[in-house]
Amino acid sequence: MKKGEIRSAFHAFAAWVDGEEWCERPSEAAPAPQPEAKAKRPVNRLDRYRVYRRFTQLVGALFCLTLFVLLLGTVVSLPPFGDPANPANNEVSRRYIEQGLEETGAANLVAGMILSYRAFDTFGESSVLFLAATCVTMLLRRDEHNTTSGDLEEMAQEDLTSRRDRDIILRTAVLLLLPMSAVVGVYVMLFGHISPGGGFSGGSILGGGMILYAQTFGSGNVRRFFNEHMYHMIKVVCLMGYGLLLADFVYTGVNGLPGHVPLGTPGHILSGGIILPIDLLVGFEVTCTIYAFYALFSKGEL
Amino acid sequence: MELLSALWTQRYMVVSVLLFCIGAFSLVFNPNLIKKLIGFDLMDNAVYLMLTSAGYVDNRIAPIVTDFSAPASAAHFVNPIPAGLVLTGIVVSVSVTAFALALVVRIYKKYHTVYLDVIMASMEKEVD
Repeated sequence: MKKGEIRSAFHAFAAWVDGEEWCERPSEAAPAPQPEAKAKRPVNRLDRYRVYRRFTQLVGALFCLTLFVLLLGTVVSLPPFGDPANPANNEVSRRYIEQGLEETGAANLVAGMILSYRAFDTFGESSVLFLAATCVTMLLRRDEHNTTSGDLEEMAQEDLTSRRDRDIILRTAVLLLLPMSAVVGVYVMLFGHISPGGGFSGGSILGGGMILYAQTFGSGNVRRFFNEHMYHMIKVVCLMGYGLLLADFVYTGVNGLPGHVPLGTPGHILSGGIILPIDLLVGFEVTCTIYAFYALFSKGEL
Repeated sequence: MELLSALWTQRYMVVSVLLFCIGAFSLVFNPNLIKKLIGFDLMDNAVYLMLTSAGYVDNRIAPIVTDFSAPASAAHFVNPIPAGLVLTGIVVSVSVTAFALALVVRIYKKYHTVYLDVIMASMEKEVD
């Protein structure tokens, strides 16, 4: 009996660590199986899965411990941390550092690398982001098939509450923060080729500002300047612009061919050839995507 | 002692291995779908930590040229390639996480739970 008590105490502790103690597991209230099914299967399916789960967790702990020891053994024999003679610091990175500024015009060598030498790779990355936003739209967009009247009522209630509770501190703080987040976002995008930053980080900052605005003033206010039509337009036009710029660059400027986009003076804002326009295009696409993720997950519509 | 000093030289890698194993455990063996995704993100971050630490070189600075008078010397800057790879990886992991979370939302709407064992039990019931 004592053993069982210890075990249940352990489970309670584990549930507390997991933060599950207040979570109502719907499984507890699951209806019992039908009598005719019960004759065939005396064990409740859920109990069977529970036993199975306990077993797999034991096996999993062993598995992860083995994995940990194996990986540690590998780590010990890897080249030492921070050594200039490591095989990772080979002629490829040396070439990017020594010729990067001259060939791409970007003082930020990482930006020069990912948006000029490896612009095709970054194009694939932007396409992945585009596809993810499209898939999330497909899965979560609300229409007449997946919305009940209860959902609509709940949302109307939330709207009413947010309109009634005018939190003056939050609103003032957001009104002060919003211009700053917009300026910082655009700055990070524009200066991506001469300082740390770039399209992805700048777009995230801008998108974060939009999320803040939508949280405080309601998404109806965002819809006044950014609706679904505009979202699709910006997303498609930015990705297409990136593709066209890249195609032009591949046919005229890559591999030391004389390109017709001037590289400009290093360190000035108008430098880096195609990097600045690509940063801007990617930045606006990321802004749209970040805000769309927020809007689709919280409201199911833009 | 030798082993310990070897582990101390590779401390970033050791932390990333630890994170990776915690994430793998959570991803494979936690029945809660959201916690599975958290484990997946932990594994992502472990890989990024490993990659960036592989590109670090002692006493060198971030690869941003500030002195335009002389050609940049490779002895001044850390390796820029892992930073670029990690940048790509972060964006892809954000996309994958958003997609997976959207799938979890849909699963929750159908089964009203995110626990995989409960979902499996009710799926079996549907098949019968």
